[in-house]
Amino acid sequence: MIMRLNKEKIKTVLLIVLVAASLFQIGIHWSQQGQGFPFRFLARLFNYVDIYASVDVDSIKHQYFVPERIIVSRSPTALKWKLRQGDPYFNELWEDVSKNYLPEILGQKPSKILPKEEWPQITSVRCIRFDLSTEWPSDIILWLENKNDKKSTEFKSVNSIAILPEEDVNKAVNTVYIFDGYQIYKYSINIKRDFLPKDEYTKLAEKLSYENRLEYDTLSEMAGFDSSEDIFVPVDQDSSALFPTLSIEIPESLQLNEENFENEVIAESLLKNQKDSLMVKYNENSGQIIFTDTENLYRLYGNGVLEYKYLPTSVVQAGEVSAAFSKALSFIELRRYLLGDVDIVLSKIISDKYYEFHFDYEYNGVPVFYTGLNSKERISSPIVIKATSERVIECVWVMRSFTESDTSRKYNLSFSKLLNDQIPQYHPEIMTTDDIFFERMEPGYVFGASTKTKVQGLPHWIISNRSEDFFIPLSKEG
Amino acid sequence: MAKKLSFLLVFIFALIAASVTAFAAGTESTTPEAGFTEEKIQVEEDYDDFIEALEEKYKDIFFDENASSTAKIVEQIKYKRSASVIYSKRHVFNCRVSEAKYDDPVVLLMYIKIDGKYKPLEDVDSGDNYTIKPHHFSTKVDLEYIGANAVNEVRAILFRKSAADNLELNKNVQIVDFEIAVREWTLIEKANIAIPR
Repeated sequence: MIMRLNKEKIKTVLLIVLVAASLFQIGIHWSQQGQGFPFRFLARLFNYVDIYASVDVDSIKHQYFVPERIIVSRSPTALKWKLRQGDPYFNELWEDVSKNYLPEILGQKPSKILPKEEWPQITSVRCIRFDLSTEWPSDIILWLENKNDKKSTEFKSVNSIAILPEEDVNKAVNTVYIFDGYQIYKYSINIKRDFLPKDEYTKLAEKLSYENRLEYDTLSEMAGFDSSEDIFVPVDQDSSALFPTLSIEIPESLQLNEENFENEVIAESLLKNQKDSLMVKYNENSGQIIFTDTENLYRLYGNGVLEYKYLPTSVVQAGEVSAAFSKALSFIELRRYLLGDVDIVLSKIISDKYYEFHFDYEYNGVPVFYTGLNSKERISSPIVIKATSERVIECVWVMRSFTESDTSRKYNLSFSKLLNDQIPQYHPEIMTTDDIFFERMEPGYVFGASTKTKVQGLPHWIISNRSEDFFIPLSKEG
Repeated sequence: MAKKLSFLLVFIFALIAASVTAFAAGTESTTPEAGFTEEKIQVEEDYDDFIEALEEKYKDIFFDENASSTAKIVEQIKYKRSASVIYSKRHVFNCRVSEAKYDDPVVLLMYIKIDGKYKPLEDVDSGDNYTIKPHHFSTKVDLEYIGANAVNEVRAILFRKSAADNLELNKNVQIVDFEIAVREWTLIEKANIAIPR
């Protein structure tokens, strides 16, 4: 009996020792990886957290393939209309072109190939022209349309697409021109059942007329102006448009503070499934947090700038641009939910040992410009991703979320008022320089890499010449 | 056995309770960035009498169809037709003063010849045939005639406001004449004009 009691006592002591040891082990584990309730495995069981799902790039890739604008013209001596994303005609027409016309074009040889010099003349008559913000390589277009046959395209890239509804009198055929920056490719496309009726293109100018839409002139064709690209300015004295006030802030879950760090909020937001495999180092004094392992380095700064680097320095092969683009999109989409309602648009592709993709922000079709780390820097892209067909190798991303903080107000867009009143008031040097040459002149929002967590985004005229960018607040009406 | 089980359960419960951390909700103070100051409402002065007096005083210069001047206030005046199907004769004229003087704006007067006489060509928005600006002009007008055989003779007159009392050809007043033929949009386009939605 006594021996039995002793055995029980020994077992109890051993049990307590084991429990204490496991407590210590857990404590060590926690102190290394931060604290928090272990929701992860529970979440998987109950399918609670969507953010842990991998990105299905195929379902979202078309969101990035959107023109910068649609220009509707009637004649070379007439004004034009400009449509931006968010306009109901824009969405309807682009969907028709991207989902119906492009797949047909990819399977056809062009009926004619013309020199690039003819592009202004071709698109100056009754025409609906879709201008992309950059040259999209045909490889990416094929990937977007789920086609593999590279020989099916004559053009190397797509810079602009024009539909001339009156070139062919046949109501069942539409004429499409593709411009790749070097040559023009002409196609005659049979209008099938799912296509928009040809009338939607033929009568668009009339619809815009009856809706009293703003008309635009090309800046370089106006008296006394010189500009590098097609810049369209509204010509009406009473031109105006509605713009909301934006709240532009560092996403709450990425703000560098003790709380976000201790609760692993930053890690969960940025790293997703990688979170548990990366070591974390938070330096409050230097205002940055680093997540790293042997291959990956993530660095988040207090001003919301995220840097990523793939550490191995082995020789990289660029590979196929479509695969590299897919990797870039995956990288973005895993974190896109942090940004709010803003759109992300591709603005540039640079090819070298890797592909460098530049992305910009856009809110309801209005560009949001990034001015760089300090006010002296020129406008640049807030998201730059270097990628190969294997992986993303570098990224610099100015993380911001965008929401409307106030109802939309009417602002004056008169070009004459800008020249006569606003430029002299804010930046007279724009028009007093010897070399008056514009690279950009359009309404937009602007933000910088300020350490302020939240700033108010008001619409401005964004004006760029060869050497500088200027920001002039739009004038409120009423 | 029951004791051990109950001890283990208590212990696990204590473990769970110890691993829950409290989250405190914090609020960020926002510092709205001041965008800009409200612009003053500018009251447009009424120059009707001023222009009428000038037209009377300088009618020999303004309305002489042979009048011309080598003086240059603007390098060029350009125009484009409105793409609107509703206003088929509508045009927008624009020009830029190369030497802008904000304390001495330029006066632009627009006229169109109707039945052999110059009549004011009024801006459709302001209702005036004159614009007074320091730097850039844009005026939207409806021409008179349409058709291959009907030419719109338009005259633009420019001078600095400070020179208004002493205008002289070849010195301080610029006269620019246009002959603009406006054709109907093509027959096919006319046939496609839709009833508004």
